[in-house]
Amino acid sequence: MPKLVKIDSVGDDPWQLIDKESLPSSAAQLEAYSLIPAETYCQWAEQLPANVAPWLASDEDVVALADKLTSAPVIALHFAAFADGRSFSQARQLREQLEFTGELRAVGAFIQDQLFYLRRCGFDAFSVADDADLESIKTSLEDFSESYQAACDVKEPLFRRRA
Amino acid sequence: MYVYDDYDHKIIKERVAQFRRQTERYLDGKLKEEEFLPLRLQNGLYVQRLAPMLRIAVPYGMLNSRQLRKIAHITRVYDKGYCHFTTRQNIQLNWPALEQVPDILEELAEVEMHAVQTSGNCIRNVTTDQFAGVATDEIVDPRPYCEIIRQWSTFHPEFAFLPRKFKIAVSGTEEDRAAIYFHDIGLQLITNDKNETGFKVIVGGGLGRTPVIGSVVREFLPEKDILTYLEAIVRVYNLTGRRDNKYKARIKILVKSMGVEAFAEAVEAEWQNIRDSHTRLTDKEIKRAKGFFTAPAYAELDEQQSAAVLEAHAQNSKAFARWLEKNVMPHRVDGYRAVSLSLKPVGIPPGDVSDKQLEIIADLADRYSFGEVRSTHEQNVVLADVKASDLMDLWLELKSAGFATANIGTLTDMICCPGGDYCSLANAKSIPIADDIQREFDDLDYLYDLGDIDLNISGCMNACGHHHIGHIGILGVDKRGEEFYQIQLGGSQRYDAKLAKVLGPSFNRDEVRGVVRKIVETYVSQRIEGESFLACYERVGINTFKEQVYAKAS
Repeated sequence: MPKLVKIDSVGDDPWQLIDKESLPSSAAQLEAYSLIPAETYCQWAEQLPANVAPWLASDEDVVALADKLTSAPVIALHFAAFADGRSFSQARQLREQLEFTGELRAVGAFIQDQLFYLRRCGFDAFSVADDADLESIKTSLEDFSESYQAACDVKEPLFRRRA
Repeated sequence: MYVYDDYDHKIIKERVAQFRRQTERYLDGKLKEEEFLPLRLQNGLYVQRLAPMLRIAVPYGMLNSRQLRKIAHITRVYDKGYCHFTTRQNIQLNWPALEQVPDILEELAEVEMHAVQTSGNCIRNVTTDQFAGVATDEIVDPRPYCEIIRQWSTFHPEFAFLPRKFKIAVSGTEEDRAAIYFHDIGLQLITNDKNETGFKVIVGGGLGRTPVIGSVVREFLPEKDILTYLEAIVRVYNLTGRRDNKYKARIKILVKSMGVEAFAEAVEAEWQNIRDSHTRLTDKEIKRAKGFFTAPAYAELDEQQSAAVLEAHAQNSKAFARWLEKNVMPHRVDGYRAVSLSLKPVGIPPGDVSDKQLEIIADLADRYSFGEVRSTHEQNVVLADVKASDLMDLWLELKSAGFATANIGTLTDMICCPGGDYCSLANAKSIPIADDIQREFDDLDYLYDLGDIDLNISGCMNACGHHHIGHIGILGVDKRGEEFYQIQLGGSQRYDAKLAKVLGPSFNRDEVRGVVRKIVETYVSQRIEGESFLACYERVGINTFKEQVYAKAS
């Protein structure tokens, strides 16, 4: 089973990403631990069973979907390709402008070497392959102990903190 | 010059360690080629035609003698004993070994240098005027702001995977020497009628396949708002710039497709969310940054006396007089001058220097210019704070080191990319063209009479040699596997930014020197008293040049 890496723990990742084509016809048919397209999540918001959460593609406007999204316990942002950096901005918008406080999960094709930046942009859970090198991943999550900019992890830029 | 504190040292050391781990994983087969690619690019490492190439950052062109000696050492130990100054004020090594790059980066970190974000789809090294702080036409010294922007953009977590590369240039003078209308973001430092400092913000300029002159999105942005505003611009670009086609992915394409006004509105809307965040600059930080760029311990000198001494030397030596006029710039402090070392002598690829020469430059900097030098986007080196009374001694030393070619600003002070000799993107070689032209125009009296002419050469349409903004631009093109060269005329990289126009059908390599000769002769025959090449071209028009060049060619 894939693993879910969090900032200070690692566990199994039972969640399944369901794309538009594979959606059942009604909310009642959804299995637990389903990540469903955010648009559908917003439409079905009132009828959703527990343990269903929305996912967004990198070309979706998080601000436009904000109203019903930000009350979700988990939001997943999907990387179709690791070089597509839009989700870094989506994450910061969710955290800093829309004040989303639930779990923000990276899913899809992101790579280990992006973990430190992803974390800074507000992600706090990362879905990785079951054979991933967890020790190496932990190191990447902590590539730097100091940063110049303000982001979701450190609210003040270094210039406001410099002695 | 900026000096690292413990924070800066720590961050750069952690970067070296990170890249060492990544390189090890790559060499162990644990990191895929395509995943290692952006990681190595963001550490300056390209894999080129013959070998890897490492591009070392020279933030806004400032270097000290200790750093130059370290570069000399690195070229000797890890490379072939020379390096190359680029059109973005950086330094390139052409022959490093991939597995040694982490060691090179570690050596660089010892002297507060790195190769961070010198390539890749991220915010690149910020560039500025090589005469910052000493120019007589300076309104505001851009260097403190460049350093503030450098820190903000270094390892910015949100902007490491942009649609495409992103370049910022800052100018603080009346004359633009940083080509700010040809960058993704150009910033012009200005003061308003209340004497407050701020920026005119220009977005969406660029060269490459689709050359565009940038558009002003804000006439006056208060200095403290610069980082939040930059963050808003780059966020809008990151979220909405095209990613489906790398040739349409630069911000210039986004600004064109949205329209400048709609783009500016989108930025404004994003900015309102973050303008009062902690990223807003403080007086303390601006003051701290300015504290690194204070005047060195200048002597109190008499300007008239200094000028008289130089005049006397010039009377005695025509060669010195020529060098004085071409390679020496006035200075805002009495009795001082800024000196350009020409890296464009005949027979050497533009911008190339050897390890020994780097050490000579370091020694000269220590003895004549407070231990500091600047690299220029025209691929030369500047000693910015030289006493006028030392110029004769310095000139003699520069002559023996090969840096005294009195051609700064002239036809043979070319901007030239590495071209097909090194670069895997190039369609054609550019260094041999530069060499041909240098040999064709080796008569300094003639060059001198021609006045300032910018001649820029790119080996392909990616335009690293800035051919679109040369008065004369030369572009290497591939025609059925053969190298040809297209000639363009009338570009300008200053505030009066202009893109050059194509003269006509392209030429083969052997014809280029003769064509440039004809263009220059056309100018000489058409000019009126005191008229520059560009002014003459604009008055008589491209057809006059076209007729001369193609009539005689047929």
